[in-house]
Amino acid sequence: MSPRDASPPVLRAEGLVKAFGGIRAVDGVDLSLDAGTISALIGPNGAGKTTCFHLLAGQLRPDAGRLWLDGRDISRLEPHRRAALGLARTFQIAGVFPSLSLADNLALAAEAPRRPRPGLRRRAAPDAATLLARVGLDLDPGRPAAGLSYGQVKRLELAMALAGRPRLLLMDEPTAGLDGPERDRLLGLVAGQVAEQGLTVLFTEHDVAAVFAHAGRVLAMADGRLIADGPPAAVAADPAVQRLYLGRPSTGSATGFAPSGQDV
Amino acid sequence: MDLGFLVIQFLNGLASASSLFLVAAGLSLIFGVGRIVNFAHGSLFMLGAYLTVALVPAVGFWAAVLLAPPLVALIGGLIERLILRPIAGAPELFQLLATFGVSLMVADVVILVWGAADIVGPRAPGLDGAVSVLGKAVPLYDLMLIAVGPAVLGGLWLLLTRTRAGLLVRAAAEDRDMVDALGRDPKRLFSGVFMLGALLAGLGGALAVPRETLHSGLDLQVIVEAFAVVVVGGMGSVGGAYGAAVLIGLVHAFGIVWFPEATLVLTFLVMALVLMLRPHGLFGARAGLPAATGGAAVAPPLTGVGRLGGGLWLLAALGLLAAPLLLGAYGLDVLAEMLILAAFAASLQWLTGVAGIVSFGHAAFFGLGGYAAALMVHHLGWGMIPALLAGSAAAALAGALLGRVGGRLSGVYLAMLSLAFAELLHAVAFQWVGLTGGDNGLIGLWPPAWAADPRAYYGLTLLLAGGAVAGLAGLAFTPHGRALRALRDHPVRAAALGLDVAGLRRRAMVLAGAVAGLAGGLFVFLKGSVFPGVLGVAMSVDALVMMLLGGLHALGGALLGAAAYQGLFVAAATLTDHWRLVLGGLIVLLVVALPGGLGSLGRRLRGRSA
Repeated sequence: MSPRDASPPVLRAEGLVKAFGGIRAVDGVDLSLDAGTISALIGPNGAGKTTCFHLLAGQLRPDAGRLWLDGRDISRLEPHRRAALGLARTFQIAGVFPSLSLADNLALAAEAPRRPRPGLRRRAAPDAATLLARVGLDLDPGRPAAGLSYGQVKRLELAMALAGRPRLLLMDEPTAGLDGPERDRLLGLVAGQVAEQGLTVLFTEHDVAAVFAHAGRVLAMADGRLIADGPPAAVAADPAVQRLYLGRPSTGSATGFAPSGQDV
Repeated sequence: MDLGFLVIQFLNGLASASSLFLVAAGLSLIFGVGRIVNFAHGSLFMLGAYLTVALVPAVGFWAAVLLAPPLVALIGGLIERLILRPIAGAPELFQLLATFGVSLMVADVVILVWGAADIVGPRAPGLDGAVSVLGKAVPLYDLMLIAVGPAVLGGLWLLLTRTRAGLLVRAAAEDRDMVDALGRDPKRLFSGVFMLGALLAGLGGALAVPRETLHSGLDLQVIVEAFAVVVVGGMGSVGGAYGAAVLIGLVHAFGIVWFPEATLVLTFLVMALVLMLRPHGLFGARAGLPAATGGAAVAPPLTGVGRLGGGLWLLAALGLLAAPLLLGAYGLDVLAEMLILAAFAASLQWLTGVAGIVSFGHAAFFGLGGYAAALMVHHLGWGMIPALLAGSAAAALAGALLGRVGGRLSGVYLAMLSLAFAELLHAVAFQWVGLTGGDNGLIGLWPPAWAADPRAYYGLTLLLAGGAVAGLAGLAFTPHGRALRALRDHPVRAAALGLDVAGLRRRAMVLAGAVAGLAGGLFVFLKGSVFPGVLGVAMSVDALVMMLLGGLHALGGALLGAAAYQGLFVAAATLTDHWRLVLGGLIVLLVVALPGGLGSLGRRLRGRSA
């Protein structure tokens, strides 16, 4: 790995635009993430956070704008090619493979970035029990993922994202549905990975306390645009952000595009 | 070719477009609201036509045209209430199959009531004349039909934009959950839409009476064209259905002039072209991201060899190996056929159960393998083994082609495309008499001397077909099979993790094609002949039923399914002429009562007694 200061940002986006019908869900977003940092993307429902994630990870194609991962243009790459280059993500509505065992979920996740079309040979699988323990899941790796509680699915999904040893991890509301201590534990675990492996993280989060506790930088989004960017304290003091959170409720949630990956 | 002629063909195309639209609009609405592909829609059209003919002597033509559609709507309401509502929330495949079962039953009921002979319908009084356009006679009735299409389109448009129910229908077509949010019972809404769709199909059938010869195959003919229209127009879009109906109506009208033998081919090409350029049809709503899974239906973990226990399977394997010592020529032939059908069903299961790709035209691969093998022997004098390999390769190639064309398509669109592909091949086999012998088929395709003995051919079948079934079962547990199951469970997640979803799907189609093609070839040499029926819809449905009988997610279930199906089929065919009624009823019963397959029966019974 190249020395940190000389290397380009892990992720750079320029002028990302995505419109659904007449609504510009993402309207000219520029951003740049440096290696080994944790950033939070905040904003009201409908601000465009999830659409932004879909654009970064390739689930949606931008109408305009470009994207670079480690200096390489990935604007037109399909999701699995971005994954091969070290981009991992979790979804707002967590999803794992319910018909596979926990161990198979993890083995698949560990291999997929390097084997987009797996063949017949079984590779050495990661130690599922260790990976599960790391996210606080004390379960039999042989059991199917079907029937896990939502909190457990959320953690398994994170374990899967980490199993591929990504360079950049995008987490869409990683702690939704978890209680306070669990929330801290999970984000603490991710922070540990950042420190140990130089992982870069961007996550969306509604819990302001969690953002302050774990993010080194906060990007605030409203109506498809970034309206503030900086250290948490500075963003919290930003008048535009304060209006958004303390003033009149934003009309953003009425813009009508589905905030989740669950829409049909 | 003069102008008058072109105008005539144009008007002719528009007239058939109206008929197509009436069927397709209902099909599209039903899909939009219920996410149900109603295979029985062609049957509703057919019922509309037959009921009209039956009513004409009593009430006269025009009253019959007005009375028949509401009757069809009532029948539609019954189908919805009795069959579809109990399985709401099941995977799309089950609903497709249930409605297919209904269509089989309706076809036999029509034969029972009205007989199998063609019926030429009465003319429309008052509109049986013609007007002269550029020196050519245009039937007045056609002009009336041309006006009906836009009139119904306008009516539907008013209904959808100016009424509260219409608003709900449009909301539901875009997002199913929105209906719940709007506080209307989605079941009642769907009932209404299904009956409306049935009414329109019935009207289409009623109005077709003066133009069409009525026969019991009308349902299939209509449904395949209507599927093409709905897919081209975009599922759920009524306006798109009209545009596509005009497009396909015109392609037919002019195609029949220039390529009279290839109208189906043209329809298929239009469909393939549109889907390649616009995977959601010309006017279809482009879905943001595919849903995680088929709604509430989550595939259960794969069971190794069914749920009957390893011991029983071992016994079955020993039995198959020992069969040549125990059975005579007839018994071995039956057993060989069962193995071939099992391989065919297993190849479909690989696509659907393992990779989550629904194919409604799986006979395309089976029949292509059979015909390719037969043609190699018949025209080129190849030996049996090279011919079998060629058949398998041809079907694998077709799988690659379909995967290439349909790789980006979502489930239902691909299922339709595969159905259209099978119908296309069926038409080619039927019409290209010089190559395939047409309806007479190709005969005298027996195995060479070394495999002529029933025991030898059984051994070969056991090796190849049995080997294929076992091989696919084993493959499901390799990393490759695991990846396929993952993308079936959650394609978006699988791609985000790094799996090449489109590439893996293509591979699944190639492999399924290769195995189905091999089975098709083995079938041809078992029978010593090949006929267009191997490419027919009935053959595709055979595969689906065997797969479901054995259990969609029970590997090796294909063997159980093939055995049970063959037994039932032989029984039904010997006991009754109305095998379609029996088979259709069986499919409906199976889907509604036993979605886990026969293998799950034992477990259920045990669960109930405990």
